[in-house]
Amino acid sequence: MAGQRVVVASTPYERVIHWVLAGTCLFLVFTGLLIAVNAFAPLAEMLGGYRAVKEYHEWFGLLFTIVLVFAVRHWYKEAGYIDKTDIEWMKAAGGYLWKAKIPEPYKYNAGQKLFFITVALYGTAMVVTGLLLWFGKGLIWAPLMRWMVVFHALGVAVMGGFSMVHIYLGTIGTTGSLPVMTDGKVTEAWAKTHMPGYYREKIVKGQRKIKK
Amino acid sequence: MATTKIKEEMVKLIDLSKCTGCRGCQVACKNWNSQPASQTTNTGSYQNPPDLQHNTWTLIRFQEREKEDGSLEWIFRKDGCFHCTDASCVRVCPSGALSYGEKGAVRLNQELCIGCKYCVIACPFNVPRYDPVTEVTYKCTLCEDRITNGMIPACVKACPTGCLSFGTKEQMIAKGEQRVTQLVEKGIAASLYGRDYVKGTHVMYVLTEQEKVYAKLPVSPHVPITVKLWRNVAKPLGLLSIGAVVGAALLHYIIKGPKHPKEEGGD
Repeated sequence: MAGQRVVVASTPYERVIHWVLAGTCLFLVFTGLLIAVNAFAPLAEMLGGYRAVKEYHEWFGLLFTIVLVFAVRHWYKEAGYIDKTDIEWMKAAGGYLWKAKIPEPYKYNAGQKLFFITVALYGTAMVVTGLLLWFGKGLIWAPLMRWMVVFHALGVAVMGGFSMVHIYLGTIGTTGSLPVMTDGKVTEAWAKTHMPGYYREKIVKGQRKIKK
Repeated sequence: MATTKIKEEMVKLIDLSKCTGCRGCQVACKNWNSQPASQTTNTGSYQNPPDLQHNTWTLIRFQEREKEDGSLEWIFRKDGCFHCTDASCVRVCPSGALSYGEKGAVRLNQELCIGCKYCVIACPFNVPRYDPVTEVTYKCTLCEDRITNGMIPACVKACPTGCLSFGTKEQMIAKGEQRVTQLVEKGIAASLYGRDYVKGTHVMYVLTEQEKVYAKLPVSPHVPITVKLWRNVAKPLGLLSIGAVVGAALLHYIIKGPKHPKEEGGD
C-alpha cells in the first residue's frame, strides 16, 4: 500500500483508552471464566491458585472501572445513541450476512454503536455487581444479592460474546480495520467505505480530527 | 465437585421440645474447636453472641413471643449449618473448598477457601460466616473429626436434656417422627423439619411450633432459583456465547469472506 494516501482515523488518546479497556476487559473475562468453570482449575493453578486469580480479578476490575469512565466520557457523544439510519443498518445486519443496501454512517456504524452501548451499560452493571460481591455482604437483602451474582455471571456471555464479534470485525472480518487501533492510519478507500461522513469532513474541510 | 461418596449418612436431631436454652452445646462447640469468645454488648436478650460468627458455629437463638391468648412464650432454637444433601454452598464454591463428607456433612476446607463469599450469599439458611482477618469462611463441621472416629459431635455430647441426638439417618428420622407423633397427641403443632428440604438435611429439628414462628428459620427452604441460574445457566451460556461467536466468525470468514473497502479490490 506504499504511496497510497492515508487518513488518520483515531487519536493516540483513543488508542490508549481502547487498549487499556480491551486488555482489562479480556483479562476480566478470562479470570472470571477461570473462577466460574471448574474444568479450568489447572490454568488457575498456573496463575498462582484461585485466591490469586480472584485478587487479580478484583484489582483489574478497579482498573477497568476507571478506564470505563474515560471511555464512556470520550465516546458517548459519537457512539452513545441509536437513530433511524442505525435501525436500517441493523435490519440489513450491516450487509455482513446477505447482500443489502446499508445506510452510510458518519464515523461509527450501528454495530459499533451497539457494542459501545453494551460495554458502557453492561460494563457499569459489572462494576456495580462486582463491587457488591466484593464489599456488599450484608448490605442488601440476600435474594437480591443472588440476582446480582446472576447478572455478574452473565457478563461473560454478554461482554465476552460481543467482544469476540468486535475482535473478528476489527481484524480479519473487515479488511484494513486493524490499523485504526494500531497507528491510526487507514487507507483512503477504507475511510471512504467505513467512515464516509468523517472522511468527507476531513478531506473537504481539511480537519485532522473531529472537533466536538 | 462432590467427589466423596456418602457411605453412611448420619443426622443430628434437635428436639426443640427438650431444649432448655442452657447453651451447653454452644460452649462445647467453642471448646472442641478452640474458639475464643468475643466481647459483646448486652442488648436485653439472653442470646449471646447476637448471631452466628466466623468462630461461633452454633448458638441458641432466644426468642420472646406473645401468643394469641396474650401469654408469653420463650422459644429456644439451636442454629447452625444444616449440612444439606443438595447444598447451595457446594454448588457455588469455585475453588473446591466446599464438598460433601462421607457421613453427609458439608465440608469447608479453609486451605482451599479463597474468601469469595459466594457460599455466604448462596446459603438458604444464612449460615457461613466470612472472617475478614483471615479472609476465609467458616461454619459448623458436623464434628467430622469426631464422627469419623466413632465419637458423636461435641454439642450432642454436651447436651444434658436429650434435646440433641446423633445417629444414622434412618434412626434419627424414626426417632423424630415418633416424637412428633407424641407431641401432636398432646395437641402441639409439632413437625419434623429438614427431612424433605434440599434433598434432606443432616441436621433436623423436631419443631413445636409452625415453621414461620421461628425467627430466622426459612420456611420450606430450597436451593434458590438464582443459585441454579447462576451455576447452571449463566456459566454454560458464557462459554457457549464465546464459542458460538468464534465459530460463527470463522464460518463467516470462510463462506462469506471479509468485507473489503470499496474501490480498492481487496488487499
